[in-house]
Amino acid sequence: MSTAAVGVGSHHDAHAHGGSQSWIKRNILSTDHKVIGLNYMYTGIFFFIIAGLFAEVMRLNLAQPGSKVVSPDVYNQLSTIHGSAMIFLFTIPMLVGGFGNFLMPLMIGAGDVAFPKLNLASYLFFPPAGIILFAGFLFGGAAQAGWTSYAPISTQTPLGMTHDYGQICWLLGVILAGVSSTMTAINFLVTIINMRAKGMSFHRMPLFIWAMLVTVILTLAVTPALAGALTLQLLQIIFGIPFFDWRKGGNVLLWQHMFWFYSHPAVYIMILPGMGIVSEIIPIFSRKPIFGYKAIAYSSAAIGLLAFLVWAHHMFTSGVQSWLEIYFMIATMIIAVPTGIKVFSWVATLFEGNVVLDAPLLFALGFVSTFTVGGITGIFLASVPVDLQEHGSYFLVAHLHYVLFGGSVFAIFAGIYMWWPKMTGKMLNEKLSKLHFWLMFISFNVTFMPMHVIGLLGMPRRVADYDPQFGSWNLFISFAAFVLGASFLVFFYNAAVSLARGQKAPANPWGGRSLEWTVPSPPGHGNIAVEPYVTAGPYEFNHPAAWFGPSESKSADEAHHA
Amino acid sequence: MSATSPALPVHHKAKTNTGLSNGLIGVMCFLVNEMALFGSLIFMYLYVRRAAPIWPPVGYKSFDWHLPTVNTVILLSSGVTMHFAFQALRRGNMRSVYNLLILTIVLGVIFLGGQVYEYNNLINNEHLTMAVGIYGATFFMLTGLHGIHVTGGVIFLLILLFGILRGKYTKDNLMIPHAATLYWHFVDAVWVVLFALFYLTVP
Repeated sequence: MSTAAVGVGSHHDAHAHGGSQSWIKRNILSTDHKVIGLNYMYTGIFFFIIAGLFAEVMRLNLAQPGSKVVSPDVYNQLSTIHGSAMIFLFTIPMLVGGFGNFLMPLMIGAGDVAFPKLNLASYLFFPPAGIILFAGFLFGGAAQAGWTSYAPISTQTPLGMTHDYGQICWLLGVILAGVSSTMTAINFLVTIINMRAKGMSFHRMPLFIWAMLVTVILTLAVTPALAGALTLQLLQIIFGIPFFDWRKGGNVLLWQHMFWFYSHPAVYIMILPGMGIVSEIIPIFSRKPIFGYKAIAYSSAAIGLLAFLVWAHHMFTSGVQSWLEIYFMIATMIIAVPTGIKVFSWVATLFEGNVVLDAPLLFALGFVSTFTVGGITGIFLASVPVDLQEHGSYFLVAHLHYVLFGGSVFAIFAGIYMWWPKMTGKMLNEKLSKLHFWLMFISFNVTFMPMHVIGLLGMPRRVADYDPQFGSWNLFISFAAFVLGASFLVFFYNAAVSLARGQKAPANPWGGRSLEWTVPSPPGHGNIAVEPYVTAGPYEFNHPAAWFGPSESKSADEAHHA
Repeated sequence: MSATSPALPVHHKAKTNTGLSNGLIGVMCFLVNEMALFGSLIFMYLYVRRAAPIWPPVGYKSFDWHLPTVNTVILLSSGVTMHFAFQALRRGNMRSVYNLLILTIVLGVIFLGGQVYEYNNLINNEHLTMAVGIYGATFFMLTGLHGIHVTGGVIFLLILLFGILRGKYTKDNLMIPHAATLYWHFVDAVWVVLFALFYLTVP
């Protein structure tokens, strides 16, 4: 690594490079965005494994009627922590903290994020948030009210306890996770607005950066609503302040409004970066410029705007005035328009392209297909009469997992396979990567597709026991769920072998042309040795990525484009 | 893209896309975040107020507006003094900076004193607390959160004052003073909304 490395606008003023620092300083307390990004990923995957194991225990319990494996109380705790951990400790930190941190400065040609110390601080909030969330199990049982934590269930004290310590742990953990993601959002927003390489106008940003821009604006604008709601619930549980207590003038629906005003946009916080990842992968593996760059970029912005306007579609069964129901139903269905624009643009990019079916593209196609199924069942559930029928059933569980597993998790693994060479400097075994994809894709669909059916047949969600008529369906689903869990073992084996003795990765293994492919794999401290001058959009395969040289020598024509 | 708004000073010579410093944009983002926090809690107040059959609820009377009106004038005046303190710092007129900044801090402390007096009166004479009912809960939650922000602002201004006295912040290093000014204006603006919601619009 060259000590003369100079990043654009980087903050490398004081800290020393090289191996003179201790292991902890280099690998945990580093302010380098790449180290922080990878730490987010390791931590996120750790929580993903635990929350995934919780899901397998729940499936074991549901394999036969009668709740024979765990007590219903424990089942409620497992399902609450499974959902909360997957959302707050895996998907959001993985996509924003992980991929955002590692890729965003590289892609825009910056030396680091705007505030490297704030970046480290936001990471250091994240593991404690997870530990506190899980700590409820040590204090008489974790939270049981579901990841949505509706009052008044969440504000009642369980029988035989003086306080609901599990719920308090849940609230504190999610508050810390929120503080962490707010700091990251401020950092990223400033970085994207202010630290792009010369020549990189907004319309030359990779689509992942567009997605990240909308994501961090959403995070900034809606996380305070969650922080406010969590604080109110904490004050009610600890001090008895009656925000959600109707006997003293409070209102239980208030919790749902504040919670969903955050948590609906949070769905987009979890899906937009995934759409960004897919938008990066598809053109590279189709050997074709992306179809509809501006359409994809602006539809991200449209999704971001609509995110603020649809939250009460989660509350049709809670009692919303009928005129409001109609508004929220129509507004929700409009989201299908920008989402459809993206899906059609991706398909049009693939059309007549020179398609290379490597693992990143397979996972990206897995994302597009399963996410589309989730989007279509979303239209079902946006319709008030259907929602009133299906909201409490497994149909909703199927919809949610098609969006968040079929969407976000497939996108996360697409991103891992895509940028693994860049992050580790090693190649993965392509055959094992493809095996992982087909195992995961098939067992995912076999697990969650039948849930639509048992939901329509009337099996209620969020319960440990069920009517024996659903027994054989559930046994089938549980087997598929175990295969789905096992499919990740292929990935972990592949990853371990790659790290131990994988083939060395070149700087640009896939032939991409955004800026992260112009630096070595893995990139050195400070990212870029020579300041790039971006001369074209990121998907114009007939152009070089950027001009690397003294910026004075750029031609007048290039200067004109800036 | 590289156009710089003439109203905002360029603090750093670093080449940024907007011409503004990262720090200043970061502070603006933070204030957007703070606005959303107050916004969500104001929504909370309006929601329970609209859901109640009458407001104030049975058994409560509306808040006395006399002292808060004086307090509003005091806080808004401190916004004016803060504005001129920052302008004086930009021109390098240090004598005015000290006078105006100290005046701003004093006005902020007087505002907090008025709020403590009002809280004391409500809690001890009218027995209104957060735990009794939603009327007290929403009032103390929002005005209390604002009071915490004013307290933080006074501390921030004190740090700024000592920094200026030590020569740390001058007309060539305006990022932190500018951040403090924006924050103080934000706290003022939030108070105007809260004053309207709790004192002016309650019958």
